[in-house]
Amino acid sequence: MTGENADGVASGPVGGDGTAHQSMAATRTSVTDQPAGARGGGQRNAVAGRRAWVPVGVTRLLARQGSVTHLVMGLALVAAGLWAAGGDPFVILVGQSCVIFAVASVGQSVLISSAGQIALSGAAFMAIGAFATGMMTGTPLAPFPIPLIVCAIIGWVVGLISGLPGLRFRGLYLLLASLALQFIVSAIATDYQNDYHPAGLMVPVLHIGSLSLASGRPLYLALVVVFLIAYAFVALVERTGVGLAWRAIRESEVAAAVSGVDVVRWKLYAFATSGAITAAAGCLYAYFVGLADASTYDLSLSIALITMIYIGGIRSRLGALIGAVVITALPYLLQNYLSNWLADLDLSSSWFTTNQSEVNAGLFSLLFLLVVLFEPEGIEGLLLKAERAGRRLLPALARHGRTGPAG
Amino acid sequence: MSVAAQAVEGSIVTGSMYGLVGVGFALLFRASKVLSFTQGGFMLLGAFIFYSLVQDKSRPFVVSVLITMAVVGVFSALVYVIVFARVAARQAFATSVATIGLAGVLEAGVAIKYGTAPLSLPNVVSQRAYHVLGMTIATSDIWSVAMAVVVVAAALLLLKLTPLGLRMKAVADNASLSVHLGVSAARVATVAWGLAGATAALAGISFSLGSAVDPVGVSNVGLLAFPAIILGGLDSVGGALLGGFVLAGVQNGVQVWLGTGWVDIVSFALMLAILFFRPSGLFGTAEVVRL
Repeated sequence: MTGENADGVASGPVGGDGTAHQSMAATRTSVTDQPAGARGGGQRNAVAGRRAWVPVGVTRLLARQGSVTHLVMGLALVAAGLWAAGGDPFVILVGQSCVIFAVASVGQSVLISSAGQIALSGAAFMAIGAFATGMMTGTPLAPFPIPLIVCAIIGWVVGLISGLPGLRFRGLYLLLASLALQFIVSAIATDYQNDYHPAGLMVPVLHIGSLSLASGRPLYLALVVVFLIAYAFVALVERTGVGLAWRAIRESEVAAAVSGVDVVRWKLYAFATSGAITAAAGCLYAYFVGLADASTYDLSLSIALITMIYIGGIRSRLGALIGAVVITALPYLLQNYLSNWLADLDLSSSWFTTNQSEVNAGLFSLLFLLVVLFEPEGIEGLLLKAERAGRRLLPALARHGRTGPAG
Repeated sequence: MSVAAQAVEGSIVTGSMYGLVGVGFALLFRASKVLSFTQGGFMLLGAFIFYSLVQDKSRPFVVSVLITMAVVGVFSALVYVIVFARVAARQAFATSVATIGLAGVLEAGVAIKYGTAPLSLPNVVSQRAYHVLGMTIATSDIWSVAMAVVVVAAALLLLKLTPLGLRMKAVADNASLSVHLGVSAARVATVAWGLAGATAALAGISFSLGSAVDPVGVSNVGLLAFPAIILGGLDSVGGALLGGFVLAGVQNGVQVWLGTGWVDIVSFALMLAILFFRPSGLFGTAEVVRL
């Protein structure tokens, strides 16, 4: 069961009652992917039969534990994405940033959520992508889709190499190894930048052929397309045996190996896939900013990326997206609205505006700390709890409705 | 004054700073299997509390140091009891990850209170410098090395001779079994957090004496202490100091021969290599995983 998960982070929260049930439920939906099978299928059919005005498939889907949560999360993301597409330039700008970090977050979630390898090297891969893009500027490789693809390939190779320490150990030592990778890449990028491009590597605006995607809605839509491709790729891969192998490795490497999963191979592929997608996100970010600057891709960005995964929900890809949007959009929102609110309340906002970046950093660190310790499944975990409470309440309410006022 | 001799002196001073931070890492890891990423944050806190304390020159230098250590140590123990204790006992790895967040909180708090620019300390120690064997040794350097040696010696004696040391050993060996035998793992961990905080504060002071109260520099020492403790062995107190000396020596050598840009690269490449070929470091106990 998940309770015996070796490193514990990915398993259910500590203390309180009903946690074992929760992690079991999470495992059931995410690991086996066929929760409706064993328990009470017949009963559900009876329910479906009574409400014939809803297609049976939909009822069955909704009866699945966690389905409402995922529906809410998915709809919220789609709504936010569409709203941003029609918003004013500022909203679109925030949206572009969110989409890029959503790509990075998906990349990291392959490694952290799916394969259960906690690593702190996300920013290193983004730096690799950004710098590779900067170096390709002005060469025959510059036309748009090529840098993205090249970045993904480089990220794949470096990811594969970064997975080698992961073969020997996991948990704390892997975390340290990824930390070392982060510092090495960051130092190489800084040295390169200082030697050849003191102000950072310029990256031209994005255009495909003669179609300019410099900024605003066109850029946003282009980023969304890239994001959808990455997301669909990961979603499809994880539907196959590869995803199953990753989840098996996450739950217990020994058990996975005993069951015939080639742990070495699939673990390396998890590192490589994650590296490729995160590096692609770095490429997009370089286009977005117009510059590849080593100081952007420091340890705090790696921490921000892992915070996205934890805050959204370490169990799922949707959670990683929610986390990416929350962590990316919140500073913009605070910057834009909090000062106004404070002013409306006749409070001085000068303290906040002068210390803004520190306040944001502290706030996110605090959130990360609390989520890791007390709600390791993040926003998704909270929604799942709410859903379970709702599911317990609903039959009671229905009974009350039959016997109470009506009867 | 030869460059080589001065590099040796610099290595010993820097190494003793790594060692000071490393002692805290090792104590914590022994007591609770938690690798704290917060040591840099506590260093920063210590450096700035010390900075505030020495602004009025009424107290002797040593008293300010002791007050700083006590404040940060108590704060660290309290943080453990309030925030981490419930989770740490069962999930050492989750706690280690969460300390990354705590470090961020501390750094942000200090940055808001004191800003991010380096602040120079008033002359708290004598400004005299000694010239020995071609080296120039500042008084602050002697203090740094002395602090590290005293702390490491004290920690080693604590582990070897006191009942607390024995309890730490028991908890490190088998936490649940020692709880059954009447050793409070939570209390041992609380003490370890307190000691780790206090030694980190001392490391912060040691850094500030040599240069200035510089948030960036202090955080860097906190992070560069990782290669040092990995080199020495995660759970070895003496190894932390020795690892610190070795790392500082390597860094100075790299700086002289290859240039400043290579220091981080070589330091962390060294750490990767050790993780890969000898995860227990020079003096650590090899971790045996039972299935």
